[in-house]
Amino acid sequence: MTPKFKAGDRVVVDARDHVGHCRTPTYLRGAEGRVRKLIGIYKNPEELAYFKEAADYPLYDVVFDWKAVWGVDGPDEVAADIYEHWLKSA
Amino acid sequence: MPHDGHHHDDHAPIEDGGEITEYEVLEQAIRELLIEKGVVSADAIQRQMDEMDSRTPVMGSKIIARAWTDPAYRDRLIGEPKAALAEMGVTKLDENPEVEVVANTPDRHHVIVCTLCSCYPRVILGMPPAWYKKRAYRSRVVKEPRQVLKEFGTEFPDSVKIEVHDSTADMRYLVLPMRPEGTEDWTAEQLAGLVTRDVMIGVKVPVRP
Repeated sequence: MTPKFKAGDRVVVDARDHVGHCRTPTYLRGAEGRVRKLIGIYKNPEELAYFKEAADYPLYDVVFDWKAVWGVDGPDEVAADIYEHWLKSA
Repeated sequence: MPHDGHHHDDHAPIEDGGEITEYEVLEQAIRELLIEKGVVSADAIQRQMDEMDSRTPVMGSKIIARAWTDPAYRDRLIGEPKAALAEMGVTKLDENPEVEVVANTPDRHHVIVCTLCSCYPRVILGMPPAWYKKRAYRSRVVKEPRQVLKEFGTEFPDSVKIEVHDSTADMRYLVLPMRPEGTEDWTAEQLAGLVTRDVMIGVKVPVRP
């Protein structure tokens, strides 16, 4: 699987709802961030959690400015690991 | 004086009996079923528990102290954490989630959380502290990290960026703190004494006593 994004790319976390096990925190859905690096290729936890045959997805280290997450200016950042199927190009 | 030398240690009340929760019943039922069906053995479960109990922050302290005293090791710890951890005797790295080491600098401080559950670098540090799993820490540290750190006695000027790592997926994070000033002639063993569990989570910074 060829990763769609590379370090430095601007991405938006998809704001969709998800029923069941999911590793994309709701507070980051809809937020724009920057791909810091590709971590590697991992199995989709949404399927793995139910012992299904899980698809491989690239996993990225994504950094978010304070304002992108909380809507107010702040000096700090949040970083999270997000699977590619939750990311769109910004 | 029969009471001389008789000493009572302060300790939490010893819990014995009490109400068993639904989850405990469920866990027990599943465990017994797995043993009965031969999926796992009682010995294997006990070995796993013993192994988890044998992992403590002491291992992390030694790793950090070595990184402070051995620049080549520090580079390996950040660049190839798996090999660097294995070198220090951390076992079963392949059976555990990968660890990523994030280094504090004069203008960036890292703090670790798992907002979704309680992901933690258990392969090195063992079980997380109770507060790490509490909703209060998990929900607040991503929203008001400076306030939360202040409650741990840790304060930074705005010129230091705080980076909150939410361990959302397959990586576990370990903070490599900055070596305190005035410890230049300390041995790795002495330095390890400054590296507490909390500084490896990033809610505190090591200080020279």
